Amino acid sequence: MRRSLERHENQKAWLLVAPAVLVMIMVALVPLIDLIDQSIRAEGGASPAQFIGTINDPAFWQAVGWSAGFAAVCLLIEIPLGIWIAANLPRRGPWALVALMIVALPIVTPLGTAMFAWRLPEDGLAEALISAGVDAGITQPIVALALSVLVDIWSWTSLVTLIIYAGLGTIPQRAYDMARVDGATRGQVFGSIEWPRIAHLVLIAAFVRLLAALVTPASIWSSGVDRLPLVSPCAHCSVLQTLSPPVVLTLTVLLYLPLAFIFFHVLTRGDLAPAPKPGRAR
Amino acid sequence: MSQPKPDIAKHRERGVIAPSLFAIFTCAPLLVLVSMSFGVAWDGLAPTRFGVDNYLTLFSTPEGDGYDWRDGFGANALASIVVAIVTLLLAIPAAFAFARFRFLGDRHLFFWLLVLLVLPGLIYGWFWSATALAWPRPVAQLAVTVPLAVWILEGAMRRVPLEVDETARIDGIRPGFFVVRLFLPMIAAEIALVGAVAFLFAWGDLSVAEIRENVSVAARAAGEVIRLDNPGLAAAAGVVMLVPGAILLAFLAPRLGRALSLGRV
Repeated sequence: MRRSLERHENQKAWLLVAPAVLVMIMVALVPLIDLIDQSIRAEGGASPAQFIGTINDPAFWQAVGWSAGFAAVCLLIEIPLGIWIAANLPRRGPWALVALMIVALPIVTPLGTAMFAWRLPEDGLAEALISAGVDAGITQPIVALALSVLVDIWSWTSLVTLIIYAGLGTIPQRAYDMARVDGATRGQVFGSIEWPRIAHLVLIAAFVRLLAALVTPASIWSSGVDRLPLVSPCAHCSVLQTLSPPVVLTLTVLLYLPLAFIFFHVLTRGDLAPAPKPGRAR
Repeated sequence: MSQPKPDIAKHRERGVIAPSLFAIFTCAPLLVLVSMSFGVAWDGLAPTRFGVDNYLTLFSTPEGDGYDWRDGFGANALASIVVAIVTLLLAIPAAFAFARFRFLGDRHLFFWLLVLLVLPGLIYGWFWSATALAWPRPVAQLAVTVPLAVWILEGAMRRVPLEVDETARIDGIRPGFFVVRLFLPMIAAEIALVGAVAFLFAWGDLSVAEIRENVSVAARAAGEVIRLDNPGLAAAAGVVMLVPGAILLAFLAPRLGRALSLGRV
């Protein structure tokens, strides 16, 4: 008889987390509290007046709308594309590692390098792309936004691909062999073997992307600023110039709390169920 | 009579075109960058003569020439290594506690670490760049790397079955010896992965540099890539910044999926 083991209850475990907690209070919680403090501070004491002003400001809602639209478009492209690439990457053989390294390249590219690679000074790759296609300046918001989406796809499709690829790696070869014996098509293999294994990871990848895309500072434009009067109420400095930064950032924190709560449950869903015994399911 | 073996190698009908196109898309900007970094003479933005002069200039730092990029490069490397080490020192015990014990408020604490992880890094950068700290960037980065490391390592430790701990206990192995000599070596690859991820995050992060320019030498190296006025020189700086990640790539690529899903694969 096997009795599945449980984690022991031991309050001394607090001693193990204490250093990390103390450092996090200093480096992360203090800035957060300071931010909220600033957001309600006004001449003559605390006041919610700044919040009311910001919430009534159409510029704020416009920025929120652009951010949400940006995130939605990025996710709608990156998630299916990432899954598609991951399903088609070679799994073994000499090309497997090479392909994976190429896919992982944008993830390890520092932001500054990526920004420069896409927007070489004056007119770089990004502007070359525009002049080839559209008769519009890069300062046009919609053109700038489209290019931001393109760069975001370049930077972060890899994240989806790598997560899904790792998930597909947990599928035993035997499942594929049996599907082949049964004469399953590629679509059927994906639908009945691969998708059930990666569905959870797709959700995780979508959340990781969503939480980042909502505050993408339209990176490639940051050095030029003012070219893009939109995107991300919290992250982009040009929006912050017209609105009160602490208020906008505090509102962002408020938006992120429920999102993080859902994300937490998505992430830990597997932890509550008894873990599959290694070697059994295979 | 032997049956013909099923052709396993062929059976996964994987496309070639999709990954190839994606690889071209991925490499294109970086190839342009690399070719530019070797440009010495320019006709507009098209290099007419090639050489390694840009790299030599970057690392020679002539007196009074205005480029202190080399100092920034060294400081950035040092700061990133410190961030990675501090992150691991803090995260390993914490992740072990979450993975192996139940204690008062453990789930709440785990949740709030996630909140601090997903909040825009700008919040921390904004606060710390306004302080009088000489090196605000590594401090701000810890706010992201520590929760990230705890989450990834907790996932890795959770995958080690509790039976391992139980067996060690029954065998009378001291807990300290078990953790340091038996348990942690089992997840050594994941610890290395987390260290590399923390290092690379710190290496390329701009959250402070973007807010307050020239805030510290360390922030400059990362941020100045996009500000150097000579395109060839800036491209060379960009390539050099890419080197640590590229070197770690062969080790990282197969494992990165695990880290990016916060250890939940």
